Amino acid sequence: MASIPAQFADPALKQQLISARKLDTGFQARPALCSGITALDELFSTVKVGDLIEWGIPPGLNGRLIPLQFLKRDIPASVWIYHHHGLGIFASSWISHGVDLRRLFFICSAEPVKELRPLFLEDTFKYVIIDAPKKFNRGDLAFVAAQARKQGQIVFLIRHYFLSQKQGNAHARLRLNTWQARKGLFSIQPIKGYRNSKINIPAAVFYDDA
Amino acid sequence: MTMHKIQESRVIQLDQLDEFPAYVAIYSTSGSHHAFTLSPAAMRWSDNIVLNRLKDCEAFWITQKNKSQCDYAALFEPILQYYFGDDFIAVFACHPWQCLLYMAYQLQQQAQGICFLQSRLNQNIYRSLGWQCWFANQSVLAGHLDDIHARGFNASQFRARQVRLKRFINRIGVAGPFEMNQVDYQAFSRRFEIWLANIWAWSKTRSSELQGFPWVALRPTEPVMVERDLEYPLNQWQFVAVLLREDLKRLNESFVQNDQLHINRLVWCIRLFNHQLVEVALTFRQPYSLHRDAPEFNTALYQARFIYDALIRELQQRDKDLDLPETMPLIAWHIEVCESFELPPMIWDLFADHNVDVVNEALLSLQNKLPVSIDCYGFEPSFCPEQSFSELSICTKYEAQPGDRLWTSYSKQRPLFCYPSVQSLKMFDNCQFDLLERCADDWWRQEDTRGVNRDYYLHKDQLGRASWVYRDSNGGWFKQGEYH
Repeated sequence: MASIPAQFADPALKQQLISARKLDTGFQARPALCSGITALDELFSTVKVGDLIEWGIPPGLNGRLIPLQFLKRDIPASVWIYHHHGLGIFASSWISHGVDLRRLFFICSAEPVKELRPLFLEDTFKYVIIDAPKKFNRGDLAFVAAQARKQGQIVFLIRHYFLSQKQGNAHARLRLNTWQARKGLFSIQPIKGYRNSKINIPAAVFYDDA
Repeated sequence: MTMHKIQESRVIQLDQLDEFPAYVAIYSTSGSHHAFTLSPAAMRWSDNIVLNRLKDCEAFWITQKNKSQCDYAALFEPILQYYFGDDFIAVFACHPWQCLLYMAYQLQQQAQGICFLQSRLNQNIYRSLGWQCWFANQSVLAGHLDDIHARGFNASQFRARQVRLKRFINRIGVAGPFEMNQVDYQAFSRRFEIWLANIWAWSKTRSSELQGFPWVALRPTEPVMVERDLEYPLNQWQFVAVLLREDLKRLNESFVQNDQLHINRLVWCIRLFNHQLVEVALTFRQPYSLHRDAPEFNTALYQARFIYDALIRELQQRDKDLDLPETMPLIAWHIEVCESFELPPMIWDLFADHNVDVVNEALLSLQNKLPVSIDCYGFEPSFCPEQSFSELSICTKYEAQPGDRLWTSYSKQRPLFCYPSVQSLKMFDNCQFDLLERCADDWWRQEDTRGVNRDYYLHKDQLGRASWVYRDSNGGWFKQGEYH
């Protein structure tokens, strides 16, 4: 939050000044996540602010197009924290998919909790996407989940492998695997938090003009 | 597929700037001591003229310009008026000598206000300046060169060469320095020696490098520093942080709690248990106000924590063969403000600017607390993949235009992640790939036009992982992105 200038240092006055971001703007009345795609919105209808969603998206299968759908319309300030070895953001592709890059920012970090701790300790970013971190242990997961609840954030944690029920995640409300099964079809397999049936979405839904 | 670039006709603005001005010279007779108004790097040129090096905080000023959605004149003029009133002349240019040269002309004209030498109008005037302006500041320059004992400089020889040059000019009948554009540096230095040749080069350069200009950094009269000798060695951050916070508070109090003072860099000089002295810098991407971060000083402590952890790792790695404590304790330190400058309230005071975006302010504040940058991107109107986007400052405001769709819809088949430089590939005949698009480089800018076309394919390996590859006109294969 921006600092209060010296002339307003009176403690009594300080108590009456509250961050504008904490005012109720009616933002909570809408679903926490909205993609405009019926199947996706139904899948994410139970997600609320403070939740952590874990994604299993192995490399090369184009699966990140699915979480991208939630970053298109009327999004709050969001951050995508990535560390893909040697790769950078191809911004024109993100824009072509309708992602609002005026509100989505990027940080390259292999150890997000260690290097970006201040980011999780304040509510500047409402959507935080942690994409395939190099180092992210159970303690980091607990910290991020707790901060998400405290700061009113929604966290996407993307793993570079498919998730399974053999290794669970108590902090995640939803766990799902996504991939492009073949040309023209994307698949989502919920592992936790939704009925365990695969959802197929035609690729045309993602490639049609926004 | 044939590509057409949309041609836009636009009026050429004579006062439009093509690039950020690296330096500014400020003339004021008001007796103001605000030498560090626009940058932490300043030089006292003369009693009434101060030079500031703006490129040290170029990112900050570009962010401010984007945030305010104004041009540089509208950004800097209110700030200079705040500190100097109406009695000032400010000349912005890419080299300090050019600032001074044009300043001499402005003083001759008894002008006031600011001007940017990079603008087309001022460039035209600059190139028509006479010898009087060119020689105007050379006596002061000679004084500075003498003070720093510049190599190869002799004041009396310099004056003699000046006289020779003036005789030459009178004999040839050249009206101004820019009518001798055919002369090169080597010829000039052979005839009139190196320092006049340097002045000649500074007058024409388009580079912001000093190229020998005698920049004498202005330092505060008294260094702002706090020292601490620990009563016992410390090697745990939780205890170091408590004492560091106290020292930051003392540092803040030494500035008499000045709202306007902003810090670019602090130096933390640490004495280790083995009496080794280590100096680390706490550098802030956005000018940092110690006063407004009080009493917790979280921003400075976050930076100090990252620096401390990195230092401990480095020491552990260096000393792992030695029988030293695992975490080297600290026994003393001092913190010094190395770079600081003044910013008026209109820049940082939320209550002064009703148009300020709270989220942008929070982003700028967060940027100072992180060891890595927060990146922001926007699209560029180009079909060429490398030129189809650019990195922006995080406060850049952009509104979508009706014509943007033509450019933005073109990249849907491209991957979300790309390599900064392409990787060459060896393709096998049985590889699976699907043609996506053809793209042409800017062939009119290249001498060899044989490899300008690029055919892009989606390539899948045996495991079904998709990459974005292209084949150029020469038949070479390259990988440029991944479909993660």
